[in-house]
Amino acid sequence: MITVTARLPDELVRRVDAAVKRGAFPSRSEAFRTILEGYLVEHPELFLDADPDDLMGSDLSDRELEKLGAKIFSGAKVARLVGEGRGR
Amino acid sequence: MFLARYASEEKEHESSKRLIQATEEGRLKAVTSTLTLVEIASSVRRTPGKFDGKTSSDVAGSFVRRALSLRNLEYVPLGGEMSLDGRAGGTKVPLMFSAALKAVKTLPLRTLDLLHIASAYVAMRILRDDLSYFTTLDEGILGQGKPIREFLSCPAVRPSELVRLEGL
Repeated sequence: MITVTARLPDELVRRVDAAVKRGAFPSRSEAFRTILEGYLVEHPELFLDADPDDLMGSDLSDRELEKLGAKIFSGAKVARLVGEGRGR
Repeated sequence: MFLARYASEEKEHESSKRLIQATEEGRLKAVTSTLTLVEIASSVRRTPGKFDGKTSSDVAGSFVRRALSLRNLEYVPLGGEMSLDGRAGGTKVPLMFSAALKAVKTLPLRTLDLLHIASAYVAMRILRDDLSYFTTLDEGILGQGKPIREFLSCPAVRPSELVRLEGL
């Protein structure tokens, strides 16, 4: 294990210590470990290495998408494209 | 179905457009798998058509953005994780994968098809709402009508059939 030194607000530490005193955690270290792990599970985007906005393109209207669709899907069946993606 | 709405040459184009419009107007309540978003992006990215000076990935992202903005369309989450072998500390899998493993007992479908069926199953359990129809253009899924009806307690239908059945 690695020992980490961190500066935390008094109030935060008091709340964690109160939870330890109530028996919610066996120790202050275990409390911070559990809380940190919970946060990391709740925020998988921290590990994605990409901003959610980067995963989406420009905001286009239905009319613009229809125009684009007419060009990019010309001669291609979308059902077949999806089917190919599913291994057919 | 979402992509067929923007593909005017597609046989189910008009029906898909009507269904999406009915959903946005609140006349239909629709759910789909989050897997749909990946399939939209992948299908657009792979289409051989001309991208009108834009990059294929940006266009793919634009379709994803639109799919996410559809009103009254709910995306089914993967669901909480559960242990398959019941052991504490054992491998946990999302509810959707567990549902897919349940589905595979009666449905001889490919992996991604199974996940779509499983997401409909999860939708029923998590959203606590019965499904009236499972809509798709996928012939592989449509070809398994009887076991799908038994698994989901609803029929798998093409968009045009749903338009007719609901009088849209």
